[in-house]
Amino acid sequence: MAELFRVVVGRPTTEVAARACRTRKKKSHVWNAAECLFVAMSCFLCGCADSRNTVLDLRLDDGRVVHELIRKQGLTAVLLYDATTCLSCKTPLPYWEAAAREGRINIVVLLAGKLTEADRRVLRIQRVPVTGFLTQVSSGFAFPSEYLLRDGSIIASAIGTAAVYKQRLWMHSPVVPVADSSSAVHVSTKETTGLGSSLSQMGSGLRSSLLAMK
Amino acid sequence: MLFVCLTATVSACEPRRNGQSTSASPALALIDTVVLAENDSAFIGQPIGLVPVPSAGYLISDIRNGVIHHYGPDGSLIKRIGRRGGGPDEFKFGPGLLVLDADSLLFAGDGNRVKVFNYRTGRALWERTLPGRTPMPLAAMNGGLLFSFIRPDSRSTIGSVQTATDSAARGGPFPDLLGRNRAIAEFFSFLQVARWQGDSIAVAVQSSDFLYIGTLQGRKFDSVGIAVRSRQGARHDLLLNVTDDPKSVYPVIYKPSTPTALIRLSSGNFAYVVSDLEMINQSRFSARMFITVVNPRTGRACPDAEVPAPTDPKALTAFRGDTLLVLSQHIAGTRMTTLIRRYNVSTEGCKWLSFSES
Repeated sequence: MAELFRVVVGRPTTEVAARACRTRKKKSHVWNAAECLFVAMSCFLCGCADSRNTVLDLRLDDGRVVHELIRKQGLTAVLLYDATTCLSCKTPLPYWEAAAREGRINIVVLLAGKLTEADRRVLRIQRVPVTGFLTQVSSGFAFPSEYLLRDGSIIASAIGTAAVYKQRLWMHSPVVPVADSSSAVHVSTKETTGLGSSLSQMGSGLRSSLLAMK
Repeated sequence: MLFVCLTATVSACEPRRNGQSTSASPALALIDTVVLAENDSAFIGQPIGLVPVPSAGYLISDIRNGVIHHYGPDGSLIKRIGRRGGGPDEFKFGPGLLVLDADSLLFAGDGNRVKVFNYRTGRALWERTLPGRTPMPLAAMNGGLLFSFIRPDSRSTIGSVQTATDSAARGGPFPDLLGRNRAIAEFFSFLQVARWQGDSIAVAVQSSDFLYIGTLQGRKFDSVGIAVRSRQGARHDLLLNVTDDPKSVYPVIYKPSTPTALIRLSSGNFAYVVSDLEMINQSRFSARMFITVVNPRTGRACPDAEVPAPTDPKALTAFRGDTLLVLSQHIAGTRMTTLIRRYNVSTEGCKWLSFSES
């Protein structure tokens, strides 16, 4: 179905539309296609941007922009979490922290949602390494979302709780050889996870690695 | 006249809900405070389970870091058990609640699985899936693990397993209220269990203010009403509105007191700790905690001394013999600390109440 989006919309599928498609697997194909087409067209007409293209442009509460936090060389993970789920540790953050401790990757943890003073106190007690807060964030973003970047360019992403745990980007981040980022193409995840996350393919190395993770 | 009577009746109920008057409750005398050693790379993030080690020291499950911390009696870190991951000695979701038996077996919840370690060596021994919707490790008995297993169809509250492959036994005394409808059994699933005598057990459930005494095989032969004074209690009034429709549960679900610890004291009485949860956001709660001492022979209770601990993040409690352990996390300026305070629980001066007097 993601293929259909690319044909119709003529640009990478939006996360919203893609997720809408995947959650309707049980319906008939005809209805499914029509519904997905409607969502895609709605997003297109409303000017929804592909969140993968805009995540780097998100502005933090303190005025910094996400792309300013990304290492120009090497691997960075941008982790967008809802503050409430992060507070209850329903995120893979510990996995990323382990990779960061070993010096394999830089992590940028961004928390969305309004936090009370008590929430912030708990975050400090839990030593959550928060890079910044996103009190105002567009509704086009799903939480949690994880973006893996090499040399400043997105090479993979996992959108939504199921995708984050299924794709486990933290596992392959240090070992997967990544090709030239300029050749990135957006592909359907149907054949990789079947769950509805999207990812960018950077060559056969990463792709095979993801398939092997199933 | 009717108005006066109604007013008097309502007024009599007020202390129960408003946390007034804890004067004749158990007395908690602080014995000492242990500060647990932490730094920015080795710290207790979000503690879920606390069990004392028989000789000395403490095991603390930390869902934030995906490990079990083993601390010595002086608060020094001895070792860590497990880590985050999907392997045999790793936790995918947990570790959750902990149970330690007399033979060094450490049972640790991990989603709907239990992982078993030798706590002395930290070595993983076996693991298995536990049956039921939300199985929680509760206690060790006869070389096996007791876990929550509320099943109205078989009228069971407690399940037990002994090995990685045996079929789970089910039983425990079953409160009639749990059989009232499916929603109560599913959503009010917190419970605690303690050994009564021999192979019999006492069970406290979230949906009731009674302590049920029976056998692991399922026979129920007694129940003791636990007077409610300051804690929320089981809110039978609200539970009566619950139907099989899950939506009917939402207004009630976080109202009842949640059983947090239950133990038989050396006096023969039970010490029972509950948490009154307050929802902060969709996944975080604060909690006031109360301790009650129950005399099962007289059917009376000395209820609801508030446990002196911060409510947010909520504290953990456990018992070492008759001593109450309270783990809490604090922050002052830039300094974060995790403490275990030990309290002696005394019933001297208690006002013993029957359930009907609460």
